[in-house]
Amino acid sequence: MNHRVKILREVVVANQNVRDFLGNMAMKLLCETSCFSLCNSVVKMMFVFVLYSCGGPENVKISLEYPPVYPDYINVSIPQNIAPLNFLLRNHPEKIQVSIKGKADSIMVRGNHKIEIPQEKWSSLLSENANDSLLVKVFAQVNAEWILYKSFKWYVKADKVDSYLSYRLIEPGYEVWNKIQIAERNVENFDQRILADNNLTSGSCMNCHIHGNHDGKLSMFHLRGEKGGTILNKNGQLRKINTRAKGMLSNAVYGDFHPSGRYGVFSTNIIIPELHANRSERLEVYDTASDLVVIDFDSDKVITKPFLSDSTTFETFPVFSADGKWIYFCSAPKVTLPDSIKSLKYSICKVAFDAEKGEIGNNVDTLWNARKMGGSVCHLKASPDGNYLLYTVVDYGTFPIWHREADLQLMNLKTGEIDKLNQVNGPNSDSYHSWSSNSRWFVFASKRDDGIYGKPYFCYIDASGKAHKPFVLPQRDPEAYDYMLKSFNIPDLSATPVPFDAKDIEKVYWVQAAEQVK
Amino acid sequence: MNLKKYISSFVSTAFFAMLVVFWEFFYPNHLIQKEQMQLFMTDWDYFIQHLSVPGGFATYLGEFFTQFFLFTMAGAWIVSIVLFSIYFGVKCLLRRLFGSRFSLLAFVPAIAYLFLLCNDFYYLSGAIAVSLSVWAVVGYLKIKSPASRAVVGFVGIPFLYWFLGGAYVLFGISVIASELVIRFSKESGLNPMKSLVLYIAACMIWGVAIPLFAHRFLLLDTLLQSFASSAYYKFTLAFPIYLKLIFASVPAIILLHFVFLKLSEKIRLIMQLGFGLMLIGTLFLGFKKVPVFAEEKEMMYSNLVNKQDWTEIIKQAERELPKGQQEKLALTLALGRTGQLSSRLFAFSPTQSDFFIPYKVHGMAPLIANEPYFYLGFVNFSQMLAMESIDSSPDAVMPVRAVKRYAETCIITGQYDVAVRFLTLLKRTLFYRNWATKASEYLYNDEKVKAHPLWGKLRASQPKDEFYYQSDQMDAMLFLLLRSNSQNRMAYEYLMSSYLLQKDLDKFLEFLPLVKSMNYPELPLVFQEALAYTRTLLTDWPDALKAYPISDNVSKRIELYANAFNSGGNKNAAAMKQSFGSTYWYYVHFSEPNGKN
Repeated sequence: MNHRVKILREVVVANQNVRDFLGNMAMKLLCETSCFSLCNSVVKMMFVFVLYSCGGPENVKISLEYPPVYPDYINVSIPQNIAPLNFLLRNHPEKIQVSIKGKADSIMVRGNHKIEIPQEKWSSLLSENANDSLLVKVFAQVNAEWILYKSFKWYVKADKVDSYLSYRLIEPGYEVWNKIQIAERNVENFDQRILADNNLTSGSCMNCHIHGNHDGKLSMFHLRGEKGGTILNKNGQLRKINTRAKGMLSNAVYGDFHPSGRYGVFSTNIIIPELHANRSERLEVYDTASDLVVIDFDSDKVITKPFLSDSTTFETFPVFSADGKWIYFCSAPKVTLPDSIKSLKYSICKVAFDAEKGEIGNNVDTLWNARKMGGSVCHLKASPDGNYLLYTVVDYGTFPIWHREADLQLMNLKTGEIDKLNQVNGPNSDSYHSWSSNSRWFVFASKRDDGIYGKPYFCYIDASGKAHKPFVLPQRDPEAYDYMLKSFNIPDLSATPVPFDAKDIEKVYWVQAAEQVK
Repeated sequence: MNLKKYISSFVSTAFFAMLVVFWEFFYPNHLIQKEQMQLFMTDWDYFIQHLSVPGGFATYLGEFFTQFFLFTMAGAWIVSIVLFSIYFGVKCLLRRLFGSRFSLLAFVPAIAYLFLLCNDFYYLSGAIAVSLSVWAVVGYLKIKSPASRAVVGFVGIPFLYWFLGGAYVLFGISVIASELVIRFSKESGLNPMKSLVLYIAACMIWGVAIPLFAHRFLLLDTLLQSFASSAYYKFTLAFPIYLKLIFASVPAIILLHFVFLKLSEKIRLIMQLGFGLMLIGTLFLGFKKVPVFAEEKEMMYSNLVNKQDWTEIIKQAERELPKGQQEKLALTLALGRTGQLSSRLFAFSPTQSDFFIPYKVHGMAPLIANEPYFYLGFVNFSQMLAMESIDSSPDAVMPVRAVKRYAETCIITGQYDVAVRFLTLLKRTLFYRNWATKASEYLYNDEKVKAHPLWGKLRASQPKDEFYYQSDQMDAMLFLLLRSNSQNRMAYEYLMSSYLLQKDLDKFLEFLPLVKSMNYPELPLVFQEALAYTRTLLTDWPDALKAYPISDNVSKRIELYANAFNSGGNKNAAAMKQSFGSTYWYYVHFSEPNGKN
């Protein structure tokens, strides 16, 4: 088949969903390739008819390059339950036509410079093509000329991602903040719910909404301010806890749930922000002191060990292992700050935890030695299946979101092997990650687009442990990321929605007294 | 009758003239600053976004008119027209209810709002909402049929609630007060009495139920915000009593006027006169107590910095020495920008703290705070302070001046992707569109940025060393800035000024050799004075310092100074100031770096 015929076939296919009747007729004619030569004149007439009736591509030029789609959805792996991957073309076309073709069915979408894929058709196309791929063909009219770009694929994974993603929406500012919201997005569609809004809580800061066991019935976040506390959600019952006991450095900061839901492990930190003078840097945030504690939510008791509150060492970013028998954390020897900030390097350590007795073990093991590896580790997250530890590595320090070099790494806890995730990391900071309950997906905040605004990216880890090219959380309007002046902070996945909303948090903030840990 | 009409017209005209004069000649910089504190976008999305919340329409109108405050005269006329329309609305309302009688009471809400608007926390949108509510009552009273009025009143409450926010209360209570007046004065209106009582009760329940419903099902606002809306006051956690009193004043005026008319003609006349005097007294006291003229002056300097009108800043300072922190910062910046810091600094009684505003996490970062950092070449610090101004604005509205500065800093530092977001916002405005479009031409074009007369210089001036912002270590930071670009004359003058103000002559002499790379036509006057003074302290004048010539004039002046000082001037600061107040020597002997004499 010569080029002209190929193009003709594309164009007719492209128009089929727009004018079903005419499209089907054309398809029928084209599919009867044996009598193609005989029907040539009929097809030509049909083609002209379709083009006249739909205003579709004609005189199409073929490009050997991928289309300039934003977000970058070229050849990405996606879960079968993700919302439509709406996108736009960065070369400002007058019109675009996109065909998304599965094994049996296909979707045709048209737009000006962006497309919105119909939700229902999309969902059924994904489920029909689970563990297969979709072929995406993009036609664009640029300067009155139609171009057919190189096709790309969406690899649909049968492994689903947890449906609910919570994140904090905040301006990526410096020391002060204005509007902060914690939102929950259903990643299967575009529904977003506000879980907390500082407009309702006297403008106070709020951070780190995390789930326990990837379940909306167990979650927490710290609500600062005069009437604040750590908000603990257990089956929709909201508690407000003052997590600062006598002798602690601060209230609880970075933390994680024990799989039993009874305990939380936290760091307490004295955090100092510094502003870089140099144009390539922004903020440096470091701790001048940091310790670890476990809080028993049933008894409001604080559990610790002297070596975890040692003034010669910084300990931070603690998490429980998947079985709850270990606490992984980052540790660094104290250095003079800020003068020796570049020598501040955190290793990954672990210490045993006995949930029955509520006791922390006595021996600390080092899993990743900063001295040997030549970096500094932050934000540990153990995969729910116990196989992996995902973390961020920076050149130095403890606050990766303003370190351009911050990259994710994946440690196989069984073999100790480390994957530097080159196919996942971007040119700017990649950090604040969270696993899906099936350990096949993780989400992370990446500033790869502009270095300032963090967006949630999803990455697939296949059965062999190989990471696939990540994709950003789809938005109904793909231009939303261009206009949004908020960063998506601390994305965290959950299989179910949390049973509270911003009005509940308002009540807890103003009315409920805080429980005091001892 | 005619006399009353003439008096009424005269008083009304005088009131309007007073408003215009006040805003145009006594308080214009507050209006300009109000414009700088918002970012009004002209597109449809912005309008729809406003309509989606109660009071949003009033906010939209307020922001729309506030954008013209960029031009002083337009601002003065707009505010005056809005305030006058409140007065005139109440006047028409009273006329409609009670016939064409002149009442000084009609001035009360407008005068109250006049003084509220002197405070930056109150919006023009609030005054517009009050005015529209008053006119809605006038419109309501135009309806003759009591039943139709009842329907309009009932529909008007939710309508005005959604469009004007809290001022719906003014409408609701005024409607009730009017119906009572109609019922009891004209023995017309809603009949029987039971209908009136029912109507009043229904209006009250309706007025409470609608915001409650909106709060429960439609809004993500506090209960107070759901009732009051964000159209009136910058801080959402409070709704000042003054606003509540203004809302209550209109129905109160209706009822008072009703009672007033029951009095005898003589008593009414005496009361009118008494009340007239009271109003004049209130205006007199109000103008004396409420407007903060010191703040107005600070804003004037801040606005001149924004306009980069350095000459005017220096002229103003020559007329009267700046007192406020922002004024002094503006002056040192103007001296720095015009290359006069090293020749005229001590003519303005400087202090060590005049150069920068220390960064504080609490409260809003002043719009001017980033300016000296920007022009010096500390672009990162300027960017931070611009963003802090945006983030710390109490009402979460983006100040256009800070947005513009933030976009500029992004272009200078090459953060083009971020600059695009902010330029896109500016392109959606009426008065910053052109600037943003021109600025967009510099995106992703490093060569063009380098060639820009200001941005190119600032890009080259940026520090190359890594260090952190330390507001208490400005000398060290200026030194590092200078090390990155040894021809940054402004940074050099700031640094030398700091040493001279600290009376640290060792440091001054240490950095003096750098003066050669600054291409001064001659050694700056202040440096000559400092050198001349140093010479008086040394027995031998080192050869190294002979390379810095001191003019004959300075040599003669210091001799005169020394003679005067030694003949009793050391104990007579005032006399010395008169003759030598603008010299470094006077500063050394009679002033302290913190400004104390």
